[in-house]
Amino acid sequence: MMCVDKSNVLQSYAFFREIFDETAARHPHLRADHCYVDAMALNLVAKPWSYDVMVTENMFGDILSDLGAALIGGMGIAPSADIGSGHALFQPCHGSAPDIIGTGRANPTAMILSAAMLLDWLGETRRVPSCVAAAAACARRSSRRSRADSSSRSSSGATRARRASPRGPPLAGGQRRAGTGERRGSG
Amino acid sequence: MRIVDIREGAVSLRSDISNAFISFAEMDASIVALVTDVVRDGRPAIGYGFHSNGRYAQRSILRERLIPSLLTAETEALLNDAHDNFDPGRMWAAMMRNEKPGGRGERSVAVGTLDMAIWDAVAKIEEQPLYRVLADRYGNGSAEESPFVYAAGGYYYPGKDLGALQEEMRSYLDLGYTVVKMKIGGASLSEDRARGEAVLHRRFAPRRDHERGHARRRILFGAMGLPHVRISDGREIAPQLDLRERLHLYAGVRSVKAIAGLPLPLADPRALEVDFVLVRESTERLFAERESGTMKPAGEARDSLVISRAACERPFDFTFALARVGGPAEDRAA
Repeated sequence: MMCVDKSNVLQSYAFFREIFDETAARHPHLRADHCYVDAMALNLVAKPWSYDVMVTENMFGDILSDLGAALIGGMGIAPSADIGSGHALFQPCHGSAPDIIGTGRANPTAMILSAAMLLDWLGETRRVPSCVAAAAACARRSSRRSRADSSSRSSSGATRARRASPRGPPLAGGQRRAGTGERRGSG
Repeated sequence: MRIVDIREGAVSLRSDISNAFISFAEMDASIVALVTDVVRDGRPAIGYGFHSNGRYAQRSILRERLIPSLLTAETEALLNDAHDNFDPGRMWAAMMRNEKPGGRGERSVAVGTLDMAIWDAVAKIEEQPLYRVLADRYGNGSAEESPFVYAAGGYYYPGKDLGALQEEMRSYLDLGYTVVKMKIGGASLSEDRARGEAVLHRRFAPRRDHERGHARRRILFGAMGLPHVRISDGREIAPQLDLRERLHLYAGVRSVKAIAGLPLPLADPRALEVDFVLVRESTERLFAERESGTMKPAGEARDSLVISRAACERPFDFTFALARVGGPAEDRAA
């Protein structure tokens, strides 16, 4: 368990870390550690395989989750879940990419994986009252279901392949970003 | 040094607005001018005062009691010990002579109006801004360079719909205000609730979709947004951020797992072992204050950051539980 912050500089992050440590003390069986966000940016490129679970604040999470998506091949295959106590929202990490409208190059994998997470969530939350258990299960199961297949090169091809084999491969490559180079609709 | 004259008058604040209790169709306010014989910068030092909207002018109390009390007081009794300025405390004592102590709302409005004029005159005689005078007298001499202010609005008026209310509040934010006040209590509870929601949701997220989202509880969300659709200050619309806040989606789960067979950016073979989950606290910090950013004309933009215990504990608890359920975190943590 890694807490990513900037507590060496800003008061609010020192408070963030303090609360993290309090929470960690209630979970002594899990190894908890901290990392400054600048070091984490380096480590996520240098040795991303050495991490399991990390938690960070809103803006650092916004940035590092994009870095994470790049590590596995791009926005087009990165799903996400936003969990609350009463609601849950599932969404591909990519934005609307208006610059590739109609070109058939949109990657449906992230949306399909996000939908899979939602279905997993529904299944788990009906069996297990704990939302937490469901989130964990869905995050990992969705990942495990993914298998590579670079033969499906178009949106429709990938979608057809998925229909034929629901546990089949994702489409390679990341979702293109919008024309300005910025992502749309997924801040 | 003496008071030459104290003039009072009333100005009309007539408008079609109303709040929970009154219409402003006949609203007015008192104005006063406290004229001294002191000359500063070639002009007589005159203190001006007025009072807030919603109180009605207090002409009779001013004209019949407070002003005569000041004008008939011994000049000596109104000055400070050095005799180089008026003493607001002593002027208060003169003004309140033979006034029964205790709360009288109307009188306090009248006294407050004169009080403003007195302090204005005192600051002008000292040739200092009033905030500086107050900081020197009652503080440690240091004054806030940018005081907190808010925009008071959100009144009812005929034909004003939710869109007009949102526009009004938006215009205050565009002026640089970070806090606005709006009136409630003049309509039914459900109507006022809708007004409040509309203002809190002053951004562009379609309200009906939010309502549907509430009803459904599990939401699959696509992508939304066009590059050229922007808020006037250049920021993008962000319905997904609104949803996170509105539905209290406090934990953003980002699964990062390499998939065999896909081209990966890292050449190291261990890149295929990448498998972690990043949980992002999603309702606070910089983004929570994204409606409160200010831009000063001098070329300085400010955003503020917020971290609260309540907002941290939920995602932390969630993440620790996630690690517990998810596998042998003990073995793999860096």
